Amino acid sequence: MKSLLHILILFVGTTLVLPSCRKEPFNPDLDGPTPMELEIPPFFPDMVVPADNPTTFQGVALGRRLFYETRLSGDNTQSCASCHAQSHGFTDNGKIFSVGIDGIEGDINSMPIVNLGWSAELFWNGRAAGLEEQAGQPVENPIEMHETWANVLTKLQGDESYRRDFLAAFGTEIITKELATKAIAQFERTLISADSEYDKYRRRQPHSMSASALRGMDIFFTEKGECFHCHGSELFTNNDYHNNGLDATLDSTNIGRRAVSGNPADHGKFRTPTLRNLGSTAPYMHDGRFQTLEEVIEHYSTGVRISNTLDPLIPRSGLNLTTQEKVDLLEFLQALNDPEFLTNPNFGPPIQ
Amino acid sequence: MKWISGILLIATLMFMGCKEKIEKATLKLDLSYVVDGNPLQMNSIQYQNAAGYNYSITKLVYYISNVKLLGDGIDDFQTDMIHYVDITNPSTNQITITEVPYGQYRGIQFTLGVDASRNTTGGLENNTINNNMSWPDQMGGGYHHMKLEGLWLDGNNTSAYLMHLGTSHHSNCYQNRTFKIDSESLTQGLTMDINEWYRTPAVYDFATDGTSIMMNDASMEKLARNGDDSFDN
Repeated sequence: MKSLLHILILFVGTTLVLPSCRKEPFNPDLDGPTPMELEIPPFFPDMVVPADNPTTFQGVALGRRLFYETRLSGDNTQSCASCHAQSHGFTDNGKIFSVGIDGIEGDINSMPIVNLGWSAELFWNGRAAGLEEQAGQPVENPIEMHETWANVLTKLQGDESYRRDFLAAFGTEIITKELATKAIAQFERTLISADSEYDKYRRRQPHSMSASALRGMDIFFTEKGECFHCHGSELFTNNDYHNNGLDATLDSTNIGRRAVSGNPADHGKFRTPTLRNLGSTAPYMHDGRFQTLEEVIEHYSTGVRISNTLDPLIPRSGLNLTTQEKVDLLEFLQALNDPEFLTNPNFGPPIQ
Repeated sequence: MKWISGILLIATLMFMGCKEKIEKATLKLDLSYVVDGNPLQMNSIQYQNAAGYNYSITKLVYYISNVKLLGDGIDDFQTDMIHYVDITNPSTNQITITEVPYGQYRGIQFTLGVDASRNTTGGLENNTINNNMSWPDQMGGGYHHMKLEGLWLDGNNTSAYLMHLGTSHHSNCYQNRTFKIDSESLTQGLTMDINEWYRTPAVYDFATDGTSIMMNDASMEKLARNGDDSFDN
């Protein structure tokens, strides 16, 4: 009987001890790429990272390289960064519409790539369910990079340094569209902007928010300005879709969210963009119709146009702000600029 | 022989434990929406409220918290769950309550909104949904209990309304119904009649009570009290 008891003790003991043996120092050669813990800024919501695309140092480095890779385009002249310049909050250098490799102009303004790790749907109409899906589309868009993924993969596969980078990031030298877009998405999740004067104010750090900006903040976050329902929280977007009263007659070609949902009630609704780094992301609105923030504020103050799908959140007769209130609101919006984000060397072209 | 006695003792204890186990079930609450008894259709000005205005509903999101099942001859069953509902998202229109003891119940009671103990800025899990429901600190902080939005006809003009509740102005809902839980799972329906928000105990009038009321305690309170019986039908 004693021998039976000994076997039982041995079994229980082994079961308890074995799992702890697996906790060895991380070894990239054996365990794959090195996990990267994204630093979520204070007050920001938790970021949901897809389980099948965890963020790693090697994946981010590869994604950054691909983001700046002109061989993703048909004539090897354009990269993602061509229309999403860091200095402009990852928008297209002040252009109303971007121009593809064939010289064809698009019909919608380049969206900022900032804090997109918190966005479940991408593009102005939300047609991409996640960053990975979004990253795959511009390559084959005939008026953008006008290339095929098959050609892109051939180009990358022929480059020994890319084979090495994919091996480091994903454990394989076989380059696929899925892995390439996963890497780009990983890089994009690191593009976090959270160091504006407003952020410093929120963190109770020394800041340069003026009295006017603080008054503007109160306008912004109350029904006086009614900005916060769409542009609230630390993200300054609710990632939802709205018709914000730009036109009385809705565009019949660029129909916004309706193109995805098929719902007539979504006609003319576009995804709310973040307001972070507004000072560098002109022109504004999905069609880039406003060149200045003063024009944007004036739109909400006196320029709202009523149409069937105008969002109830948009005051139909306008905010009717005083001159001082407009100044204050502008001051607050400028306090959302984050120069550190616009110049962070980790977000720029990789040094080869 | 001692080891045989030991095994017998353990088996006896396990058997006794099984006998004393209270049987528990999963209760699912299916949420649905009507206006004066008719199934809700969004985005169409086809309803009329007690003040006589024709109106539509373009958005309805809200929280349910503090659900309590009132026992009939047994203890009440209190949950600490909080549930976010976007009525256009079917997956949010079902509340699952687990570990409900078997027995007879006489009613369901809950807070329509965020219960007071959690209705502070940062009081809920910091995710994007709760972020979008936040109630700015400039107006008291915490979360929206509800956002009910749409259009209404103000004479010949089409106007918008934003029935947003926050701060202390949540609704206390109670539904008197008897149900028995005697199997693993039970589903009960809960139906909100949206016109109840405008009807009793006081008629809510868009023109006089307001259509943007986040800074209007009297109107929020009036609406919240009307909401107490929004599920009582």
